[in-house]
Amino acid sequence: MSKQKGRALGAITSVVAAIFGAPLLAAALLFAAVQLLTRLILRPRWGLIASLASGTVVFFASLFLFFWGRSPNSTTDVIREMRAFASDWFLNPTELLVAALGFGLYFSARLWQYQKDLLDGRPSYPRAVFDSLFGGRYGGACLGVGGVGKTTLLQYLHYDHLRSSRHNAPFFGGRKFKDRDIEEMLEGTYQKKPADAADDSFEIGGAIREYHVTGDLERFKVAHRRFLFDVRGQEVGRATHWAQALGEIWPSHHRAMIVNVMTYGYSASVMKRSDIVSELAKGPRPDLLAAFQEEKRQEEIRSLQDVVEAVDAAWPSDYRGRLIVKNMINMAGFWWDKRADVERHYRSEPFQQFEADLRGIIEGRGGRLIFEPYIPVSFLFDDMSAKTGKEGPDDRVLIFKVQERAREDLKSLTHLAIKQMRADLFRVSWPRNGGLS
Amino acid sequence: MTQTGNARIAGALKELLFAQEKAVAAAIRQRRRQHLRLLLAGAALLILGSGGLGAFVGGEPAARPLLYIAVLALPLCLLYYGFLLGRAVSLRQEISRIRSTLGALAVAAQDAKLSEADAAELGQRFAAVDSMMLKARKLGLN
Repeated sequence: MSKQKGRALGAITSVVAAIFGAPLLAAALLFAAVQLLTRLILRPRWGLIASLASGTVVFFASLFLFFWGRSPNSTTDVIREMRAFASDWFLNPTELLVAALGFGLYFSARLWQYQKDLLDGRPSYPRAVFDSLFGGRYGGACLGVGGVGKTTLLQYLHYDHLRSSRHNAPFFGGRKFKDRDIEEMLEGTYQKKPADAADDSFEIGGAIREYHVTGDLERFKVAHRRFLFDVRGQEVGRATHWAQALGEIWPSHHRAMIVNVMTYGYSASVMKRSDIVSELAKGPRPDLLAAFQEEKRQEEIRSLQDVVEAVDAAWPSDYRGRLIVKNMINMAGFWWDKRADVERHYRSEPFQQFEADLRGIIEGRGGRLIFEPYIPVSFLFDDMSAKTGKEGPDDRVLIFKVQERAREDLKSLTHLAIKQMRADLFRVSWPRNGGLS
Repeated sequence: MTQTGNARIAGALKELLFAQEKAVAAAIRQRRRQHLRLLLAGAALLILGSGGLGAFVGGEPAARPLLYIAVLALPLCLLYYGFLLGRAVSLRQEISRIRSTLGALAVAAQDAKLSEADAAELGQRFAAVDSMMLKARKLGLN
């Protein structure tokens, strides 16, 4: 009885599959094709169009190859000759073996990538493909005044992404970077330095680095099919520069992220201030540093207006896009003992007004905004020092001293913040009530 | 620094930015020319390659000269293509140099305590260079 039931169930299943399976598959393929065509027409991607065009050329070239020098008499002859041509040139055992090897290699590389993503807890490539097909493109920018750590943050995400990209695949990629995930990179950055290490050992993934000024828009790949722009933070012409960066994101990217990095005045741009560095070389000058920090805090507040102006210029009217804004307060290793004051500062009136202005622009034009006002992080954890221009033991001068007690707290908080940011790069739900502020 | 001194610094920065803008424009012009040449070389590669393959596969005696032409011309085309790609790399290096110069100029402009008028004018200059750099990015240079 149970066997009969099983057979009947199997028969019904196969009939249902035969009736609905093929049409469903056809409908899904049709849907995907229509969506691809619509996207191509609405937002032309020239690379893809060029590939399709060259594919068409190759197809007609192969037809040309087939008919060259032949004079078939009837359709039957043409079909017979085509079969012979295909079996001679494309379906012979050698060709098939080479093709199978090629496919095998390609899919094993993709499988390798998939397991790498799963092990690291990173959104996988197939997920990214489906996400961008059905959820729209995702772009973003890292904004903030000079020397706050925008590039450092993007480098963390970029190197983490490279672990599973083709650049790191066995046999395919030329591995030119240290293969570490975010946790291992932070481990390297936060490790207690040996007694003989220099004061300026700014590390990411173990490589010592100096403060580097970003001169122009730079695009970092931070996840599969995800790019974030790095920008210049210096004040002159800043609003226009940021508007240009955001203009690269909207309206072509339906979902976007802006990371506004700030430092409560502990900006690394002090390393480029020769007037302050030369005074510090003569002896401690807390008054000078306090004035510099206040200047930077005021600049941060002025930069909020630049962000608002840039969003206002770049966000089209009646554009129903989605945006997440994260205020990341970096260099927490220098201000961790004053964290209550810092949080109060970043939740005070100018920053509330900033959120209100952004909401006014975005929600007023039909978009949705998630705003995260205060995320304490420290992308690097070490004392900040600068070159004095002298030789010998006085070649560097200490500027800010890091607070050792904060090491473990900040390592876990920074790890969490970067991982959350990486997850938000694949966010699909934007609540109507405006999110987290 | 006196007001005249700051104005002089502003003037020098404007000159430097103007020079960068010209350099980016020249790189873009060269890249566009390269695009056309790359397209022609690519088309020649495709036509010669498919023609040569067709002559080889079809085995038609009349097509034999095409096979010889393809065998002779394909390596030359490939060489020219490689040469053009090498030039493209040097243009990218030029743009990268300009990018780091822009960073240094932005820091200098920030620290120079410029007057509002000078800052606004420099801002416009930066915007002009930035839009050129965007164009360069769209041509695969930046």
